[in-house]
Amino acid sequence: MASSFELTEDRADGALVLRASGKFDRGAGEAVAAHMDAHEGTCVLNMADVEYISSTGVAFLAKLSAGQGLRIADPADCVRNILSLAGVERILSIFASDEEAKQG
Amino acid sequence: MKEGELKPEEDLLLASMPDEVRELRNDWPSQTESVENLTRELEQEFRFGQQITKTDRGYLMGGTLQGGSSSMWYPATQQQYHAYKRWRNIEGLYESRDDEAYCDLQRLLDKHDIQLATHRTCSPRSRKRSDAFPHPGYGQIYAHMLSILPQLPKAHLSRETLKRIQLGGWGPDAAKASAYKKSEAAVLMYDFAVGGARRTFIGLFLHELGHAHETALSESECNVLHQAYQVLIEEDAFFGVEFLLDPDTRKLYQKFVFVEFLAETYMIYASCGAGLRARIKKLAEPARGAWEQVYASFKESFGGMEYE
Repeated sequence: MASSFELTEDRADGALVLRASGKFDRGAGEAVAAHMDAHEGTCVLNMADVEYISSTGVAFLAKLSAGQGLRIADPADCVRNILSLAGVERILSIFASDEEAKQG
Repeated sequence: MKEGELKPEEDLLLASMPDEVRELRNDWPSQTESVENLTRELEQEFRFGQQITKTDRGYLMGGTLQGGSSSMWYPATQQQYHAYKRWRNIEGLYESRDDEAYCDLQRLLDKHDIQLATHRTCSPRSRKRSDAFPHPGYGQIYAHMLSILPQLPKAHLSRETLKRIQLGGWGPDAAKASAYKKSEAAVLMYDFAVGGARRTFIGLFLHELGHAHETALSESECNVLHQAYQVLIEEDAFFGVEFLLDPDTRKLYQKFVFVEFLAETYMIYASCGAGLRARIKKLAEPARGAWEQVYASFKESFGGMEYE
């Protein structure tokens, strides 16, 4: 069963690495957007522990990644499936790991 | 001569899509006021294609059961389940027969040498095989297709880039709501698209027909459209129609992939007609000129046909 959303952050080499877990919905998207606004430089969102993503979560990812340069790292299968269903996978910056995402 | 027997040529070239298609030009009105326990976020999930199912593990929200993995399911409540059922009665597609629509649709498709296939076979392994006969329970969808296809230019139905329409099934490799498969000249409307909102099905169906269209465009037509597209990218002047996802996401989708812009414009051209023309008029240069070029190019590839 999916747990509630949590977001932790880590900074290394000037990059902000956010780790999301639980349900990724509108509130989660707004939280990620707020962290991005407060950081100048590369932003990585690790989604390995996301258990469910809502359609508004998908819309936020599209806006933040395609529109504002957010790099998505290691998305869980459920996230990949929904991004694919929505047809937006190809416009997002998706990487296999945090390291690859930081390098771009 | 009886009234209405002979229409002037310009009227013959002004086609009208059915109301449910023309609705795409308007905002999608929320049902939260009329459906108990339907929140805005829940409504967006249903409109996206998520369903709530009662299982021995309780109520679960997720995609189509046969195609999705258990990781795509999220716990739901009985109240949300009832809200889903009520919402589905208003906006959703559900199993129903319409044998008349099916027969008429089959006749239309036969005339244009387009094969209709459904993938309802229950075994996940056999989901790639077509059913022996088209599934009778897609009555609503047959009726929608029957109301849409005759409004398109005949040439768009009788071309090599559209030879098959599939309803149901699950996408290859990755999950997909819908797709256009160039190698088979096939429009594929997978389980997710045929079990969600009517508006989403209609939008996706026209979008995938748009891929059959853009694939048929000549190199010179594509070049003209690509030049205009570059201007639209610089001006960020795309139009977004709400289905599956919000309008802003659909704009982004077009901005990053040229062929998606073409497919989406096909959908908008056919469904939004007058609305599209009005919005182009309101744009400032150079976006207006670029859109006028796109519109003129689509009009030509529609054989001069425009939409109400």
